[in-house]
Amino acid sequence: MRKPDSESMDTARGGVLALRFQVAARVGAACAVVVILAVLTGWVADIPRLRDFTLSGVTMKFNAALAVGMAGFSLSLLIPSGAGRVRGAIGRALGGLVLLIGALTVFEHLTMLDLGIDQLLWRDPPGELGTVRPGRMGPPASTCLTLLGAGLLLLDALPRARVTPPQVLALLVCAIAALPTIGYIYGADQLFLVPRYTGIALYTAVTLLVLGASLLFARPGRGMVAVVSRDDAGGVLIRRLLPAALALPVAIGWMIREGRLAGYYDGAFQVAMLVLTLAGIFAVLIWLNGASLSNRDRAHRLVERRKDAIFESALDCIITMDGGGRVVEWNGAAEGTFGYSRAEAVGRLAAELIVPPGLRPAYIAGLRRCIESGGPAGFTGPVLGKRVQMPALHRDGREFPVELSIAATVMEAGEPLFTAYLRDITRSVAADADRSLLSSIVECSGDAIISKSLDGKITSWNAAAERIFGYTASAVLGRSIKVIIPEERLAEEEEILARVRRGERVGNFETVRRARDGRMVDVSLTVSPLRDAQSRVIGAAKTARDITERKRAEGELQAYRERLEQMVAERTTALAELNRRAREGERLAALGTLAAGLGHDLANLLLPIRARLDVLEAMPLPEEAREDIAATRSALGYVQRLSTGLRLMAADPEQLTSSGETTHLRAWWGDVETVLRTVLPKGVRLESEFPPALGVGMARHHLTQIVFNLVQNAGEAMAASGKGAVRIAAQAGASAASPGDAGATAVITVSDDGPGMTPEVLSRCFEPYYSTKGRAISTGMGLSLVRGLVERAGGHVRAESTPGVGTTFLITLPASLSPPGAGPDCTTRAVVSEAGLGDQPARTLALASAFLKSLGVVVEHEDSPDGADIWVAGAARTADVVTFLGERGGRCVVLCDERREEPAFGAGDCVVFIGPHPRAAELRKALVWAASRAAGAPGTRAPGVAVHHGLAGENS
Amino acid sequence: MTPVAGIGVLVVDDNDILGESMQRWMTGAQGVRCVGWTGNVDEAERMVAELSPDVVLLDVDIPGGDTFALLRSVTANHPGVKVVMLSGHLRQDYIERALDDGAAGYIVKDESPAKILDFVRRSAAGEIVLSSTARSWMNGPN
Repeated sequence: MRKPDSESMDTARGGVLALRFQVAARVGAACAVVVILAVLTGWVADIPRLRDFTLSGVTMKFNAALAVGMAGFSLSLLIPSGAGRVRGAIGRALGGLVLLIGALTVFEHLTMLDLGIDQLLWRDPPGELGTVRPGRMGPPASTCLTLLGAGLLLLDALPRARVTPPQVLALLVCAIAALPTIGYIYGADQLFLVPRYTGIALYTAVTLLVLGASLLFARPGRGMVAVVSRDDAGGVLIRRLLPAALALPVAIGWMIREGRLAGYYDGAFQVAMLVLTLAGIFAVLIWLNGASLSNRDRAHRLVERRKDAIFESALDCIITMDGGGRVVEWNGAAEGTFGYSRAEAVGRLAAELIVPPGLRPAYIAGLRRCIESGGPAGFTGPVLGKRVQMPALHRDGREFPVELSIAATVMEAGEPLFTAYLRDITRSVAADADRSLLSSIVECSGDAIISKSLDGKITSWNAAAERIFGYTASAVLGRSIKVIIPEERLAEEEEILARVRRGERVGNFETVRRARDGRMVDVSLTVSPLRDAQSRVIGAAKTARDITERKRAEGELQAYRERLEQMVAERTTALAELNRRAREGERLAALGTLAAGLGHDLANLLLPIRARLDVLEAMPLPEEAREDIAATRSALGYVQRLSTGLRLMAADPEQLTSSGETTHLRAWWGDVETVLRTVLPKGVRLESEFPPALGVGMARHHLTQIVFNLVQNAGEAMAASGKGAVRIAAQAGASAASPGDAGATAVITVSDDGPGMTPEVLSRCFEPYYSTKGRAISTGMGLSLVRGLVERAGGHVRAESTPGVGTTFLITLPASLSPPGAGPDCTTRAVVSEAGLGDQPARTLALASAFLKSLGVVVEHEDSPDGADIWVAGAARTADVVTFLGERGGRCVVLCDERREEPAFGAGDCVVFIGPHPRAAELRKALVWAASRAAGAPGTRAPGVAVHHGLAGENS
Repeated sequence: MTPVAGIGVLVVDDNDILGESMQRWMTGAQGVRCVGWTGNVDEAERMVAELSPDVVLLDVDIPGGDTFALLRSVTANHPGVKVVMLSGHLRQDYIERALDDGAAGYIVKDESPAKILDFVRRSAAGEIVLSSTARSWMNGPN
């Protein structure tokens, strides 16, 4: 490793002072040369004064003058730093000659030999004072020249030593030359006039003294002299006091000696004066210099403190390291940033403290290269003097990004000092990341994001804006935002900008903008003011969402909504209608319950009354009493029919919700005819005409309620006249070919030849609660109920009326399958066999018998003639059944047996199997089915076998 | 059982007027005699055991009493006793239930006393009797 040139560095650092010292040394050398030239001239031109300034008789020998001259010339050649090689060689050669002359002369003095060199060049005149041999210089001069010559040869030896060889030699020269010089000044002859020991001319002594001093300062940056040229307190002190210490005593001593020689005072006073003067002068000098240095030191410390303050208060970390990478300085910011205190950090390797493990090899290699690169121009390295970003290591092990710059400085002795300035840029990196993220969000946004200045100039334009409006960013940047605003909406933009200027935000403003291709784009705008650091509004950020699709969807949605609302309205109407019907249904149920209760209570009272009447009648009574009893009985008969009517109309609670009921009109009429007659005035006939085997799909009691109402209305209308007829008839509807077909209808007409209704009444007669008259006995149900019931059953009702002619109500109802033909013109006969085929329980047969009678079937004894329509029997074997049917010619057999096999019956046979202990409901259904099969003329009966319980009652 | 004395009838009805009237009426009727009357279901069972009637005229609705339970009990314990329901109600479910529980008939109170007497006689003879108004039930919904 090449060390930097210390002299050049010293010179450079020592600056002006060192240069001045060198200049002074060269001037001294030059002066010596000039003096010697004068002396030589004195010898050649025989001018005594030039050989012996004081004319004391001691002359400067030719040899001495020549050697001193060469020494001066040599020194002036060697002094400039970095002297050329030729110049250096000449200088050193001259120095060698000086050494040779001096050394040979010293040798002569010591050995008393004459080497013949003393007068080799010049012959001395005889009788010279202070000389051992003619032409031979004295011991002081020869010693000095020897030392001087050696000093010149060794000028650059041991440059780093604290005291360099030339400086030692120069000091000896100065010391030896100073003595005779002082002697000349003070007239002390012993110091220069003793030939064997001290003989030396004034010229010789002075020039040697000057050359010694010049040699001492020839290299002012080295050794002991360096401190003199330094710009520090020590250097200042030496420069100020040393000249005084050397010169003042000599000068003052001379002056005081001159005063004594003039006789002003004696020796004792002279000494006292000298001491006092010197003490005073030195006291003042030291005081002044001390004060000056103190001030200088204070100023220096102030500067240090300022630097420390800067160092410690710096926001950036400042870390200085030596060439080995060890921490030298560690400021407060570094403590905070890296977590190590200054005490912990100083002296440790920066690589271990703050460099992440992964980067350490690269760091150490970089440091080494940097130090190796060191030269006069300083250090070089990839990171020196630059700002770089890299990860750093915190005490807790986490890594964080820092911005770093390193400066290298060369310290004394060429040691490098690195100063690193670091800044934790975690936040800035995060902020950069945020900015980058924001930027990418803006770019990736599906909404157009546009910024503009307050005068409407576009300042940014993202990708979505390009897509939505068709302009590229480069095409619109700097242009007015009006390029996308349709003519008719320009005022809108002014309004928006005005609001933004006031600092307001415009949110979700739906409007229309124009794309590059002229297409109109529905957008939802949000415009926010953009502010600078001082919160002044400087522009606007606009987000535009393309809502064309949404608008279209909204349109569709609106259409859907309207359709929905329409449907809801329709459904609401339907629901209201349903509600109305439900309310009517509830009302009907309540009425039915009431009617049933009334019927029950009436029956409970009628029976005891009748029983009592029977009891009374059995007694011997006067004829009048018997007439009273008969009248009572007659009245009771009316009440009896009322009770029956009420019960007929009463809704069976078990049947309220049942549907699909069928009412066989002829059978039904048989039940209700008597009751209906009671509601007609006396004199009004009730006529009826029902075809056999026609039924309607409606509950019996509902049909009763309907007809009861119509008949009652007719009766009331005809009460005034007391004559005429109410006619009830039914016929298959025109729309149906045969009953039971889908869509088949039956039409029931209730007509009277009463006064009829006016058109006004006719048009309103079905309205709820519409009535033309008060009624003593009223169901309160009216024609609206009639219509409600009919419509609920899926039918319709209408009225025809001609005033003075009569009224006809036409009720159209769904027709149903023909039920048992229990009409008066068709008698079904049945035989319940008690003995015939098996051991069927008598109770089942008795029940069958009772049920068949209830159905209007004539039940005959087994002994009756053949040809019964229905046989009810227990069956022991299937074969017996076949035989039985064959013998007796029956068409329908109800077999009270559980067997399920289907024997070979005749084509026209109807067989119902039921269990031996059927439930009443099952038996009833089986018999109803059998009766329906057996009804009607032979040949029309539907054949079939209903297997087992016969519950279904259907063809198999 | 006692042909000389006529058919013994027990009337079970909570209606005092009806019960008393029936009792009084049967007193004068030919071929029947009222062996007792009660409006209490529990008492009725005891009376059946004590009086051994031929026919029991049983009201369906007796508050506080389970007349169908009485019907089943009498049918089971006294097979010779015919129980005929005598009701102010004409309800399909009542009729079917009564017949399934072993009743010998179902008569609606609308019937005249003479008709009721006829029903009593016929039921005593082993027939199952149904009021004419019960036809509407037979023709009712399937």
